[in-house]
Amino acid sequence: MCLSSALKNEVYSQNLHKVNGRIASEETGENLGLANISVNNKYSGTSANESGNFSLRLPSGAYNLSVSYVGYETEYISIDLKSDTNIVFKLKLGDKSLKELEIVDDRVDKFDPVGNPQSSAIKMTQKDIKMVPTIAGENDIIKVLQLMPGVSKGIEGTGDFFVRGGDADQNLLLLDGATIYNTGHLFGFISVFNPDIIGEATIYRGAFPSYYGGRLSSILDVRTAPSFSEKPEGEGSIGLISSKIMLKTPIIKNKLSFMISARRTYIDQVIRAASRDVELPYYFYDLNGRLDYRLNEKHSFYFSSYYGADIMKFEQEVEERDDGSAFRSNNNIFNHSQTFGWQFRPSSQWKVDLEVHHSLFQYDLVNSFIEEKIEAASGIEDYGANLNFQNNINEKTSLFFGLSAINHRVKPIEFTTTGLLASILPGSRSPGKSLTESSVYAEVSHDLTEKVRIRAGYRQSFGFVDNRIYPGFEPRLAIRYSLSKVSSLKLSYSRMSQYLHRVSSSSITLPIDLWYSATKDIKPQSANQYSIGYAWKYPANKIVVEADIYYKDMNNLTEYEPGTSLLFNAEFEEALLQGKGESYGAEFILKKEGERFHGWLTYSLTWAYRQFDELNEGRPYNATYDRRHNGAIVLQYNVYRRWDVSAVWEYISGSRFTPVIGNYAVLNPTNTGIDVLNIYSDRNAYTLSNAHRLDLMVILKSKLIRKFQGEWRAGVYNVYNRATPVQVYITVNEEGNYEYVQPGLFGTLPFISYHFKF
Amino acid sequence: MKRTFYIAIFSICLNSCIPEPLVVDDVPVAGEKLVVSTVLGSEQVLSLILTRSYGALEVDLKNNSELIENYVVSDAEVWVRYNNEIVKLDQLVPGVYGTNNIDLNTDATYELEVYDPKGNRTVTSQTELKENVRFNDVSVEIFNSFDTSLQVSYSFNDVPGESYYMVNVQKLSERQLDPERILRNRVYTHLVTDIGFPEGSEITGNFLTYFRYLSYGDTLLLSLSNISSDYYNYLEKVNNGFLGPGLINEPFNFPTNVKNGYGFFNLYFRDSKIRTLYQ
Repeated sequence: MCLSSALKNEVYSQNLHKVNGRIASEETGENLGLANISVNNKYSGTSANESGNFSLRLPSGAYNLSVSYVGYETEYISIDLKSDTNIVFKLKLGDKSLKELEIVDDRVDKFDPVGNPQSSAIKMTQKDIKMVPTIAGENDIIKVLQLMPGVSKGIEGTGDFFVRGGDADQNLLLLDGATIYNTGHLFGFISVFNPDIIGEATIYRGAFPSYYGGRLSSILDVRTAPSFSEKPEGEGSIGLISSKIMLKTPIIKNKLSFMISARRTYIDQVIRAASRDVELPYYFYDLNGRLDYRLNEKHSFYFSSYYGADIMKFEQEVEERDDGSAFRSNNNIFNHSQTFGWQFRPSSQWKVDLEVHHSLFQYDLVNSFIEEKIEAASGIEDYGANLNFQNNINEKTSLFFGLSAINHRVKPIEFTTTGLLASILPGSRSPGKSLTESSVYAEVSHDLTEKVRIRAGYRQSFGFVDNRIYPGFEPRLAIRYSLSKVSSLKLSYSRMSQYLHRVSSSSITLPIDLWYSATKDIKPQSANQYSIGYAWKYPANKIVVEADIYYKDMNNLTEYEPGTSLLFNAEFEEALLQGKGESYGAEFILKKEGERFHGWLTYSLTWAYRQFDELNEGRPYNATYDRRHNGAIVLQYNVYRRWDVSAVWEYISGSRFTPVIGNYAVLNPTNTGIDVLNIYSDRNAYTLSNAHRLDLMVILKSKLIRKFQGEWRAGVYNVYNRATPVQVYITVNEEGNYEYVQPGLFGTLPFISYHFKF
Repeated sequence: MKRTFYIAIFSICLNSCIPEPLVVDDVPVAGEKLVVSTVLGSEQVLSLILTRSYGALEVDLKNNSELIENYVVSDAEVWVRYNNEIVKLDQLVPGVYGTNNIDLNTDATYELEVYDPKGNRTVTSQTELKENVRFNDVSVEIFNSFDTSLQVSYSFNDVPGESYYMVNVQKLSERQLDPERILRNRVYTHLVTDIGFPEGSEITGNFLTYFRYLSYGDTLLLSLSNISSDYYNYLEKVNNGFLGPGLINEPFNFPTNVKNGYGFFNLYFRDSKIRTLYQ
């Protein structure tokens, strides 16, 4: 309070000048009500009223003002304020889908990586997502994420990612604030995030704002684009694997609007149409919807919903039997989330945001043959809410605080069998858990001096489970020291707690992954992360360079006791082990944003280790995805008018693997034969071969005809057919001798797709 | 025809999108170690088979005689210590050592020491002889469903203390005597503990075996043994490894009670019964 008063006094003791202005659309001249105005890329600023007028009072001096409005390009202006001034901002209509909904302001300053204390965070836009050529031409945010610094990929083509030496379950994926547990369709090869509905996505690898918690290694915060538009609009695509369409339209202009989007696999229908004899018994679909309502200049609401499913249904009659016997298999994976959001702007200083969300992940598996039946079900369901307050106290100081609660109802696995199968695999059920994570958090961002800005926060979290309370003490600190107007140094410290564990292999993500809460015996995971960053920008060419070094220690990581069967194992808790982890490294990104030339270059250097008393004889070992070097070059260039080309070249060090290095023979239990057993190396002792891959894509845009624009995208994945190894196995070579080989999954794959918008 | 065409197209597409595997040339090689297997015959006969481990690329696993001939360890010195006595096991044939002059006392501790002068290496181990158990009853029944399955029902009396048992099922045929088939003599091992049974009570149970290629008229060998917790743990992992370590199950090395070596030095009796499958 004292600090706040002092700052206010300091500001108001100087001569204040009025900056009056109006914000309008350059194309239509229409005033843009409720547009946001910020000063010097900080959080002080104001909002225009419903008529598009605004007023600021600032002391004499030089300022950078920026104005943002949904669906328009952000406008910047520099002023040297010596007296009262009038300004008219005329905003250009932009690619509406690129504009983000402002939810909680004190996150990354998307426009100024140098000025904000936030480091280790990267924003991805639709442009980033759509420019990257991928397998089968399916634009995919996760594939783009895997090209970012500090992010290491798992098995080629899948959506696995590992951040700064962490495990796959340490990444929190949020869609409008609701957790998405299963991020992949088609066994993980296509992410559930339909790119057409994404407004903005930001990944935090460190320097976590106090708002975020619940995972150790990263937060991927994906926000759907607001549905506001001038008139009905749509876009869609027809690809080799799936087709999709998105429509949005105003219902009451500038008041009420909605968006709906659908995506479905294509290939099963194509095969069905082509032949009655051949069927692909699998498909997936997504449905996204969003409703936005702007009550007045102070209140706005939204409701967004996602529903996705993977369905595999198969029935095969047994020809040898004439009693109608058939093998039936029905495997369904459901994934959905809903979020209700309320934004309240009581004044230009205060911002209040409420989000209430629900998410569900569930899989059901039923396989039967005559009387034999095997059924398995697993899932996790969340209900949660968070309420956030932000007070832009003055130009130098802003305060952010809030609280959140989320209840996880975990049903790890229910497994039933009938018939003779019941004797072979008796049904079992692991006890469900109810875990409530709650937290209160607060942080202050303040300019200590002209050069030093500090963001100090604290998050106090609690995990309530099994009549036990686990407290999580989570201090957060981020400091920026300006070296010049275009460069700065950053320091950060974050402590994170994680109350949910994924009870599967730590190495890969599978559709049938089980999630399990901390219990009285399984402790929550925790991590401390320290980082030092450097940021430099060259505004004239829209070039940004960021570099970070970090160190992270992790506690109570989970693994399985060696030799535990993970298949339909309801008693997994007894076999869970807990241990430690450590990772450190350096990261670099150079990003260029431009109209004709857009792209980035990244490099990551990582060391990641694990230590469990019960594994590898207690000795530390390399994490499976301890990929030492990761690098990528991603480019898009407008070659000529409607022609664009894009390319990705990626280099990744091999992941770690535990190969068979020997064998021995022992008598079987009845001494009537011999069992030959494998000898494995130390855990993850072998490094698979390094991999590199080039993907190319050509984009041809059609002419704009009555607001309809089509776009052909054609390209080649893995141009020079280089394997990205996934494992090592032994095979017989042409000379008849045994040898090790490393297979890859995807070779040269051409793709083509057609995209349109209107 | 149409179906064949689509399958052919699908196969070509699938093949074309799999790149050539990369060659691997620097995988570490396992250090050679002694491997111990134990055979407890009658009440005073103990045999030990000594082999050595070998590199993963060394041997053709289909050639069983080569496996036996080249990897047994001859001319080793083998001692067993128990109750302040030392017994030296003589080499009976290359790689097989034995004695018929050992007192086998239930719950006594037996210590094994093996010295291999050729490799200049020593391995040690110790175990306890477990009390013998016998079937009270054991019966078999065959089922035909998605697979020909065998149900085995058994009963026996629990021995005092925390106990671990194995019930083994194996089809007997003349072909099992063929050394070339020694790797294919499959045994189904069912593991039982006395947890949940009152001390000293009769333990009854049944289990199904599957994928055994059984038919009426087949003769089965069933055996019951009281085993150590270490060996039980080892067999449990062998059973869990049915599908083999892969992407889901992390690879692991099987446990052993042989210091500096592999295998098991374990002493357990077997109660064996023969049953024929009748219609």
